[in-house]
Amino acid sequence: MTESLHLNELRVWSMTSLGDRYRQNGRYSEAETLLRQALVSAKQVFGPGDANVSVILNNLAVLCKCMGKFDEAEQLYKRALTTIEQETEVDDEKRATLYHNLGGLEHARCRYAEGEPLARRAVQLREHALGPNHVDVAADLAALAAILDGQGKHDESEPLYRRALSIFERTYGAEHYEIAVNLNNLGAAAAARGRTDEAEQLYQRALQLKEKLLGPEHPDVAITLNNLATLRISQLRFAEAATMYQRALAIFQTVFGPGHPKVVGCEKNYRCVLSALECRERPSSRRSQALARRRSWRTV
Amino acid sequence: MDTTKSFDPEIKPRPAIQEIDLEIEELEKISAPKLVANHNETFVLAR
Repeated sequence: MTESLHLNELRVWSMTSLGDRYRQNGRYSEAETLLRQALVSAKQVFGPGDANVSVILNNLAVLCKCMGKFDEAEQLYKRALTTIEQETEVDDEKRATLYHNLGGLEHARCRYAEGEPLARRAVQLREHALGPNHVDVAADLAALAAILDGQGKHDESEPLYRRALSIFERTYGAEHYEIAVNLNNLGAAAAARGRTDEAEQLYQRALQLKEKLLGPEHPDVAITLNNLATLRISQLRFAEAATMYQRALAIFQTVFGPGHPKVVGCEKNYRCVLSALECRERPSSRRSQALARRRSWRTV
Repeated sequence: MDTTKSFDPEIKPRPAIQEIDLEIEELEKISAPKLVANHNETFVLAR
């Protein structure tokens, strides 16, 4: 048995892998318990400055981002990056992942301009290491595109999404989580540019794929439901929008609890459609409908 | 007593070895987790 399979190391990696799996399945509190235990053990087994510890720092940070613990995520990412950059032979793929994730954190905080150079650095490092058509480059491109979308730079973001989608489909086939996320984001970009029919199709494909891959109660399903509901507002289909927001909100509240950014955002959206429904029942409904039609969106 | 079954090629040790191989493969997978990359998924706010 190789040294890497030493029992204590195996225990650390088992906890890490299981923690990652729970995160992917939306079981965040169980994932948090495991990844925090793995981090404590890894520091004892490898030493606190070891590159192996940076893997757990990073993966715990990704979880913290999902849970809305943005400040802690930032600290963990920066500790991981410092650890990696202190190695004798710096691993550019690992650096690329950390820049990708630091950019993603700014995306989650809606600080898109701060995230853009980080995401561009990730693409640059990874393309240099792996070439332009690697699936990890595609993930970096898709992450950058979302940050550009947040700044309204849809002309630049859409070709990046489509390039990423082409690589994902070539690598994974038609059914993969990366593809579902890309379809959701392309849908949001199309909706922001007023291409409602296209947005509808993209959201529906994303929703079906997510429900199939993740199950109907996963928080990522709720993200696309929320977005589709917002599209329904622009179509003046308020009652349908309300139903979709209710379903999305129930999922977010169950998974995250009160105060999480997704819960807060979805509650605001739901209140918005409820007031639109109230306005519709009043005599001045035509004016309110015209206002709703002119509503602009912003993306998170 | 029929002892041929002891040497029956149908009762071969290969499946057990395959199982061990699979277990080793699983352990090797566990021993090298990657840094995971997050996803920047667009969440639209109505206003």
